[in-house]
Amino acid sequence: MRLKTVLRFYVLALLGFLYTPLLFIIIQSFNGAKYPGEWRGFTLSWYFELASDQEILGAMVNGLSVAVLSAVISTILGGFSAYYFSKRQDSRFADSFFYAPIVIPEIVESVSLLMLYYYAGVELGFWTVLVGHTAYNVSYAYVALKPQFQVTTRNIEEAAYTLGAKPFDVFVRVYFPLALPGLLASLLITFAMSFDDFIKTAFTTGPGFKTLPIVIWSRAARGRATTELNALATIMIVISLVASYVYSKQVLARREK
Amino acid sequence: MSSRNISSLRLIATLPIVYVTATFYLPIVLMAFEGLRGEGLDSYRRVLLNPNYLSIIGYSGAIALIVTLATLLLATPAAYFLAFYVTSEAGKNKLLVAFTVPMLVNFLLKAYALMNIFSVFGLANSFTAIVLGMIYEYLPLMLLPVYSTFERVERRLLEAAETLGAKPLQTVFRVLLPVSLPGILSGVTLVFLMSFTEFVAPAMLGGVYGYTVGFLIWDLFLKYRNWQAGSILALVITAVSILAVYAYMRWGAELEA
Repeated sequence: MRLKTVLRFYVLALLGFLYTPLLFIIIQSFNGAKYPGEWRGFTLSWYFELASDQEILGAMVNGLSVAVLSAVISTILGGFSAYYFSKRQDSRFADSFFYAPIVIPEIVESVSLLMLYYYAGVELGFWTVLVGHTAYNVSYAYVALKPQFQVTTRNIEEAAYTLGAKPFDVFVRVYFPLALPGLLASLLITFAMSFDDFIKTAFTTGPGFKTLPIVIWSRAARGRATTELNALATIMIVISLVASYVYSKQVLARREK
Repeated sequence: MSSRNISSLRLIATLPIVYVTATFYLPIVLMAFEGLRGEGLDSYRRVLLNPNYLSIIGYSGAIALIVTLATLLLATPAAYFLAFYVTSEAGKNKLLVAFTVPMLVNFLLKAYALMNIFSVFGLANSFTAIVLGMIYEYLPLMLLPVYSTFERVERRLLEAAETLGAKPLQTVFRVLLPVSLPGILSGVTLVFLMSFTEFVAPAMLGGVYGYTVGFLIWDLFLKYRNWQAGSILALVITAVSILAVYAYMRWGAELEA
């Protein structure tokens, strides 16, 4: 009983450690002072500045377009392979093949891809970033989708064929609905990986194309006041909290059924 | 399924393999050749025996070990609490979400907040700041796999130990931890690999102490344009990563058996 109480306080302390920087960001985003350390009254002006900061807004649009495209492309590509290899008896080779990009450090992937682009004479920008993000995202999609394909579908699919369904019908009416949770998970993971990516983007982008992490890096690392970034981070924290809350509610509701 | 379907499936399944080969494997092969340029294998010898590079690799390894050990020690009691003391499904979910949400916020922003907090305590640009920053980043990454193995441990096993007269701590150290070793090892491998090649935390929090192997490779490519040394070092950390994962798979498989 006593151990339980001690551990409860311990877990609370650990959460305190994890949330202190987030709280700091949130408080700072309403702080009238431009630099941390002093409090100059409550203000919303950083949020207004954020709304008119062309560099951040542009970076957001850039990041979103790369992330959405990369998520869709890699989920389709990874899905093809996951589907095919989930039907094979032995897929150990394919598993390791797709596992490597997840295991190899991102900085290695990034510098080597930069060299390939350089020797191929490709101009760096939107497309090179998209291709670079998709290179590892295909693997995340494969890993997210393959177990799903393996477990849920084989018998049901055979049953559908036995009952006379055509391949197209089987795909649209049987396969797709069953694979939907896995597809959503894959889209979410690959989107998040791309949207948050810093290192690969830094190495594969050209001067004209910035994503959010690149802007954050160039401002924060040079010690420039990042008041608008605090406002932006606060918005992102709130979105993450709401999304996780809704997601966990959904999961719980499904389990209770 | 008809054979025509299977062969078209195979064609589609090769598409992702071609893509990953072109954007991931080919660049790494290219990188190995880049290292051979000019003096051939001699350039490998020169870089690998360079005492400056070796000490930076050793330094990064030491940081990674400290971070891995610290996150393991910090995460295990919390994982224990979550798995064995939180009884309601909803309560468990709430705590898991609470530990996951900080991971969803971009690390550059959190690192910036940490930078400001550390400067209040006079810790900015120190070794401690790097280690604390990485512990902050990777704590949830250690907690989740350890928790999920604890969750899967047969409760009867622990009850049996208790019935046979084991004290609580004896049950933890002689039964629970040995049984959960595969999951603990997966957390350890993950955190070690990520922190060994980490770039953001050392670069933003470490000042002069931040010169780790990730930073070195970054500089060799983007600042000094020494692609050859950069390629060889990138191959070294690739080899370390593959070895670590291989060791984990061998050892983990033995433990499972």
